[in-house]
Amino acid sequence: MNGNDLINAFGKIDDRFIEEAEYYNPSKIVASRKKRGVVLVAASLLTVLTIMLAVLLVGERENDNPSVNTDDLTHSTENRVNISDYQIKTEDYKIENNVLLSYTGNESIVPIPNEVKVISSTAFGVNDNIKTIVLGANVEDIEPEAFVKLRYLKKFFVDKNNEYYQVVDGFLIKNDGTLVLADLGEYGEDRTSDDILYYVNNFIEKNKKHLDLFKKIEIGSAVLHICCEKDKESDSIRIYATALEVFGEIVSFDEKQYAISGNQKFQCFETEKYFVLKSNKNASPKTDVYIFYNGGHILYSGYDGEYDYWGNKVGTHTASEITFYKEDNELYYHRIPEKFYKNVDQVVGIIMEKCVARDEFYKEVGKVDVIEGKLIFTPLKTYTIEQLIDIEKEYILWTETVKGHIPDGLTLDEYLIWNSQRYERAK
Amino acid sequence: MDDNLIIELYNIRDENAIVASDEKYGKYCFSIANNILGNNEDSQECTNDTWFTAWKLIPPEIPKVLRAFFGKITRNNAINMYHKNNTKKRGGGQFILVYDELRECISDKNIIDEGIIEEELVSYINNFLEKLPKKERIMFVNRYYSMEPIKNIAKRMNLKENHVRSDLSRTRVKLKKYLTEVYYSEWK
Repeated sequence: MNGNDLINAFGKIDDRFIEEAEYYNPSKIVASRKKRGVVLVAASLLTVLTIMLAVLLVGERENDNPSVNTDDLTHSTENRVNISDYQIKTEDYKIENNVLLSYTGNESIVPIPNEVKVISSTAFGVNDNIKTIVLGANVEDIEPEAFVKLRYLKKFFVDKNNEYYQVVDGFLIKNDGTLVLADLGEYGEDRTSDDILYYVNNFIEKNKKHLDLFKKIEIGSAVLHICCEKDKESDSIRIYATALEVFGEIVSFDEKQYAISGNQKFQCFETEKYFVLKSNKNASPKTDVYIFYNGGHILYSGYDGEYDYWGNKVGTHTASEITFYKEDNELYYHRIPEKFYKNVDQVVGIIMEKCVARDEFYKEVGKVDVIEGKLIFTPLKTYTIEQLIDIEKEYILWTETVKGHIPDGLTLDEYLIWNSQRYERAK
Repeated sequence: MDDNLIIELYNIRDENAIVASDEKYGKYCFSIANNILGNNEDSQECTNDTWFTAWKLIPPEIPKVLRAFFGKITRNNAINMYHKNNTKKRGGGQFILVYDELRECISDKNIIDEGIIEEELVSYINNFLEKLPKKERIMFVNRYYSMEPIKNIAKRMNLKENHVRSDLSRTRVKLKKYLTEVYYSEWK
C-alpha cells in the first residue's frame, strides 16, 4: 500500500460522508447552541429582563426592516432606527468640535449622539463589551481604524435621518461606496486584512450581487479600491484591487494582478511604519511587493530576471527569494536561496536536489527599513539547512522521487559529497 | 434544475444534460479540481471532462447522489492530470501535501505492503469514517477527499488553523493504527 492507494480509496468513500461534509454549516450549530444557552439563562428572572431589554432595543428593529433593494444604495432601509430611542450616558463620551474623541463606557450597544459628525480613529480602544454601534443622524465621517480594536463588534444600526451611511446585508457602507466594516460573523474575531477580504469575496461570490456596491474597502489605515467583474462565460465573479490609498498617496495598479477572488490572491499587512502589499502573479515566481511609508512607496521585485509562463528563468536573477513579514509590529524579511525555494511545494524532497552540505547556508532573517527612500535590509541571523530542515527525512523522500537518477545506496553524507561535485554552495 | 431531471436528460441523450450539470455543479467540481491542481485553466478542463465522463457512464449507471458522483469523477480527472503535469511543475495545488500527509498513515510493517485490494481498503476507510466523531469526520473528508487547504477548512469550521492541523494529525494516527490492526487480523 502506498500514498496513492489511500488517495484513490478516499476518492471512493461513501457518498453520505461527502454530502455531510459539503453541507456542514458551523454557524447554524453555533446559533443553536446560543439558543440553548439563552433558554438556560432564562431560568433567572433578572437575566430574562436584561435579555428582553436588549431584544426590544435590537431585535424588533431587525424584524421591522422592509425588503432591501440592494442594487440601489439610496433606497436601503436596512437597520434604520431612531437614535432618540436609545439612552445616551453623556459621561461616557468625550466630544470636541463634533468629533468623538473617546468612548469610555461598558455598554454592549453604543449609540453615537447626534452632535457627533466625525468618529476619530482613537475613539474606541480595546473594549470587548461592544457588540453593536448605532450611528447618529449627523455622523458623516468615520476615520480609518476607528473600530479596529472592537473584536466583538458585529452589528451596525444607522439613524433614519443619516444621509452618509447605510447598512446593506450587514455591511456598513459610506455613500461613496466605501465599505467601513462588515458583520464579519464567524470570520470576525481576528479582523485581519485577509479576514476582511476573504469575507467580502465570499459574500459577493456566493450571492452574486453587490458587484457595483463596493468601490473601496478600508483595511487598517489603508483604503483599497476594488472592482468586481462578472465573467459572462463561466458566470464566476472576479474581484481585484485597482488602487491603494495609504499615507495620503494613491497608487493605481495597471494589471489585474491584485486579485481578491480566485486561487491566486494578493496579500497585505501593516506594521507600525509600513503598509505592505504583495502581488501574486499566476504561474510565475516573480512577486512584486509594494512597501508604502509615510512619504512614498517602493516597488520591490524579488527577482530581476524575466520568467516565462512556466516559471523558467530567462534573464539573470538575484538567486534568492525574499519574503516580507510582520513581527512585533515591525517589518522583517527572510531570504532563501532559489535552489532551496523553487518548486518546494510541488515536488517531494526537492529541497535536497542541489544541497551540497549539512552546514550549507539556508536562510537569512533580518529587519527591513526605508531610509531616504531606499530599502535597507539588516541581516540579524542566518541558519544552516540542517538547523531548520529535517534533511535525513527529506533525503529519503528525494531518493524515492528520483529513483534511478541518482546512484543507488548512497548515505546522506555520500550523496552530499556526490552533489558537491555538481552544484555550488548557496550564497 | 432537479437532479432527477438532469439524470433523465443524460438517459435520453439530451445534450442539455451537460449544460444543466455545469450550471448546477460546475463551481463545485471546479473547486475540487482547483484544490488538487491549483491552476484555473487545468481545473476548468477537468470540470469540462467531468460532464463527458458522466455522458459515457449514464446510462447504464444511475447516480444516487449526483453531486458526489460528479465530485468523484472530477477528483479522479484532476489527480490524473496532476500526474500528467507533474513534470511541468505547474500550479500550487494541495495534492502533494495531502499525499505526504496520507503517507504517514501507512504502517512500515511489511504485511500490509502487498496484496492490497482497493475495494477492501475503501470499505475499511468507510468503517473508520463511520466511527469518527462528526466534526473530525467532516474535517478528514474535506482534507482527504476534497483536498481543501487547511486554511479554508479552518474558516469553514470556524476554527484556528493550528486546531485543524492538530486534529487532522491525531486522526491520521488513529487511521494508521486502525489500518494496521485490520490488516494484521486479516493476515493472521
